[in-house]
Amino acid sequence: MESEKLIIFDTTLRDGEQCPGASLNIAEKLEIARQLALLKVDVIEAGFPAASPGDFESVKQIANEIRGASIAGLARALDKDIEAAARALEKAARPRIHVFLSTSKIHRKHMVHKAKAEIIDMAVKSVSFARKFCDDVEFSPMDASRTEKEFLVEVLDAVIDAGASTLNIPDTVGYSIPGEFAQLIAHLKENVTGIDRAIISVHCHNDLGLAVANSLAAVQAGARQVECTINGIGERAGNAAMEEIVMALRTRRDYYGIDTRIDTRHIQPCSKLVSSLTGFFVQRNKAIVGKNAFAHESGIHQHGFLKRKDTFEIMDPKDVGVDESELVMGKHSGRNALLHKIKELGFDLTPKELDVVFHEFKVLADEKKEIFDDDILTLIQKQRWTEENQTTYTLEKIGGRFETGTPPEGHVVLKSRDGKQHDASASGDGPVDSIYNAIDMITGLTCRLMDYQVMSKTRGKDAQGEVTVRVASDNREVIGKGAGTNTLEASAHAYINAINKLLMKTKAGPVAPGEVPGP
Amino acid sequence: MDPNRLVIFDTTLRDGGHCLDTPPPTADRLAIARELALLGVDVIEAGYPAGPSGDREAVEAIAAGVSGPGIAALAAARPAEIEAAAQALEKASRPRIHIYLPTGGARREQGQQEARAALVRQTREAVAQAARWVDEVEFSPFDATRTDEGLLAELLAAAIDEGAKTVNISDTLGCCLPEEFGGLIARLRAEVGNIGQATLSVHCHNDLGLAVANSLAAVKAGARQVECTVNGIGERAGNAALEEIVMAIATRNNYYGIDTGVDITRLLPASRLVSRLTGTRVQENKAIVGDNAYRHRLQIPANRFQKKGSPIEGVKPLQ
Repeated sequence: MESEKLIIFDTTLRDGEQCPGASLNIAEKLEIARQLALLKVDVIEAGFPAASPGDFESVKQIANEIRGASIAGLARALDKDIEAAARALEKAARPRIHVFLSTSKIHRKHMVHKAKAEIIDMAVKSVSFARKFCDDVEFSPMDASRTEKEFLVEVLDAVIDAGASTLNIPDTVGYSIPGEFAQLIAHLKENVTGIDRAIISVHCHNDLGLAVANSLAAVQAGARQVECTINGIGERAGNAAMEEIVMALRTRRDYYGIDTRIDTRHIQPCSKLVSSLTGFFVQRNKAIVGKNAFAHESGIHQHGFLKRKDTFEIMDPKDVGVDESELVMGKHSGRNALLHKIKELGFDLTPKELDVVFHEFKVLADEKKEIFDDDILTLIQKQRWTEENQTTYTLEKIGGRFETGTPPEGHVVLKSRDGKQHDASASGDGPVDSIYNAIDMITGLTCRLMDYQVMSKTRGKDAQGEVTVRVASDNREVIGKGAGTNTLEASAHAYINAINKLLMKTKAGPVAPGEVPGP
Repeated sequence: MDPNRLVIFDTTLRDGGHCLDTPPPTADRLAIARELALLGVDVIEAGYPAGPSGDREAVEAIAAGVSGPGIAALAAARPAEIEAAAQALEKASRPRIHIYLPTGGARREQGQQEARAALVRQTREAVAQAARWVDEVEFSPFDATRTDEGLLAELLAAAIDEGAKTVNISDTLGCCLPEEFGGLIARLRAEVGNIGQATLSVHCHNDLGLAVANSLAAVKAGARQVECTVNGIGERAGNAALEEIVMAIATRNNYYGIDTGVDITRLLPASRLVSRLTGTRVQENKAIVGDNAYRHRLQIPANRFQKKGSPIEGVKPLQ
C-alpha cells in the first residue's frame, strides 16, 4: 500500500526572510529557490508580491524559472494584494495564492478592527476572488491558535465553500503546546464541514522551542501540510525547521507512517546556502544541520562502552548530505576541479563569475595550505557580496597605527562607483572602530553597529576569518559580511558590504509602514 | 517532595561540556557554576571526576566554592568511579552522586535472565555504595528509552530500594517522540512499586529537535526533575535547553501548573556567559535567548503592540 504523503510547504523566502537583517536580493532568492526545487519541496512560498516592488519581482522571476514545485505568493485578504500575487505568479506552472486574515479576538480588536461577520465576509470574498486567477488557493486564519474554536470552524466552513483547498492553521505567536495543538487540529477535522475536500496545514513558530514538536503533533492528528523554513529561520525565534521535521518523520517512520518527497541528501547543502546568503549562522549543536549534529567526539560514549556505530547513530549523516570525506583542495587544484566543487555546493556560476572566483581561489591557496568546502563557499559569497551592480563603494586599501599605548588611528581608501577615490583617517576605541569611523567620514552615513562577530571558517591557524556585522541606519538594518586571512581588512569589507546594502535599500524605497507581518 | 515543584538539574558543565573541543579551565567552570547558582537551578552537575576529560579538579573547586544548589558528580556504576565522585564532592554542602549504568549492551542479551540479574546486582551494589557517602544518590540507566521496559522498571525499583532519591530516564540518542516518552514515564510511574519514594527525572537529547518537547511531555506525565543545559549545548545536537523548558513552564503555567525555582531575569546573563566561556555561539533565532527572539520587523511600529495585551507576542521578553 502506498503510504500517506505530507506536503512540505517551504516559506524560507517569505517568513524566513522576514527576520531583521535577513534581506536577500533577487539573485539570492532565485539561488535558494533552485536549491529548494532540488530538495523536492512541494510548495515554495516565494514572497509577498504586494509588499514591495522587489518582492513582486522576485516572486515573478521564481515563478518564471522554477519547475517541479508549486510557487505560492502571499496576499492579505485585499483585492489589490491578490491581484499583485496573481500577476507575479502568471507564468508559474503551478501557482498558488495564499490569502491570510486575522481571526483571533485580540487581532480583530487591535489590528484589523473588524467584527466576526465582517471577517467571514472578507475571507469568503477574497478566496472567491483569488479563485478567479488560480485553482490552488490557500487560506490562513492568522493567530488561529488563539481564535475562539467555534468561530474558527465557522470561518473555515465558509472558505472551503468559497473554494480554498488548503487551510493553514498558524500558531502565530508560538504559544501552543503539542498536545493542545493536536487537539485543535483534531477538533477542526471533526467539526469543519467539507474538511475532506481540503488539506489541513500548520504553520508553527518557535518562541517556546516547540515549533517542530507542534508540527509533528499536528501531523499525527491529521494535518497533511507543514509550513517550515530551512534552518528554522524566521521572525523572532523562527519557524519550524524543515530538516528536523523531515528527518523526524523519516527516522520514526515506524511511528508516523508518513513520507515526504524530500530528497534528504540535499538538506546539508541547502542549509549551508541559506545560512551564508541570509547571514544567519547555524549553531553547532543545531539538530540535523549543526556542525556537531553527528559528532560523537567525546564524553562517556568513548569511555569503554559501545563504540559500535549502529548503536550510536539513529541517522546516517550521508542521508542528509553530510560527506565525511570532505575533499580538500589546494594550490594545485585546477579550474575544472573548482567548477566541479562549486556545482556540488549547489551554485551555478556564469563563466565570468567563475573567473573571479578562480582567481581569488589561487590567491587564497597561496595564503593557506588546505582549502575546504567552507573556504570555497566563502569565496563564492565574497564574489556575490561585491556584485558590481549593487556596489556603491569598494575598498581599495586599509592602514593605520594600532600599537599598544597609542590611540588607534585607522586609514581607509574607498572607490565610489563613479571611479573616484576617497580617503579618510579617524581615531576610535579600537582598530576596527577607527576604521569604521573613517569609512563613515567618507560615506556621510550615520550608522549604528549593532553586532560584530568574527568566526574562523575552517580549522588551522591560517584559517580565513569571516566577519559578520549588523548595521542599522534610519530604522533599517542589514547584515554585512567580509572574509579573508587579514581580519581587519575583512572587518572593513563587512562594513562596506553592509553600507552598500543600506544604500541599495534606500534606493528601492521603503515598504509601507504598519503592514501586518503575515501568519 | 513538592508535587508542584519541578527540579532543574543543570548539566551544562558535564554533558554540555562534552561538545567542546577544549574543555574550559577550572576558573571558567567555576564562574559558570556561580552564575547557575544565581540563576536558581536546584542541582549543578559539575562534571565526571573519573571521566576522560579530567573534571576532578573542577568538581572539587565547585563543590568547595559554590553554595545554594546541590552539586552532583557523575560516576559509572563501578566502585572506583563512585569513590572518585565522592572524594571530589567532599566539600559540597549538598553533594549528589549520579550513577549511570550502561544497559545498552544488555539490549542484545536482554532475554538472558543471567545478564539481567547481573545488571540488577550491579545497580544495587553501586547505589548502596554511593549512599554510604552521600544522602542524595541519583541513578540513570543509560540509553533507557531503548532498554527493555521490564528490565528498566526492575532496575529503578532496585535503585530506589537501595536508597536512590532520584531515578533518571535518558533518551540518550534523542530518538524518542513526545507522546511516546510521556507514555513511558506514565507507565513507569504505574509499574515501579516504590516510585513514590523517589523523584522521577528525565534527560533528553535533541537529535530530532525534540529534546524540549520530550522533557515537557514527561513533566506533564509526572516527571519532577529535568536535566538540561544552558543554550541546549551538549554532544551532537545537544541537550534540552534549560531556558526553553523554564519559559514554557512559566508562560504556560495554566497548562502545566508547576513551578521552577529559576529566576527568569537571570536567563539572559547565564546564556551570554555560557556562550562566551565555552565559545559556543547562540544563533539569532534561538528561542528565548537568541538576539532576534523578541524582535519584530522594523517596519511594524512598535508602540502599536505595546499598548495592551501585546497581540503579537505570547512570551514576554527577558530583560
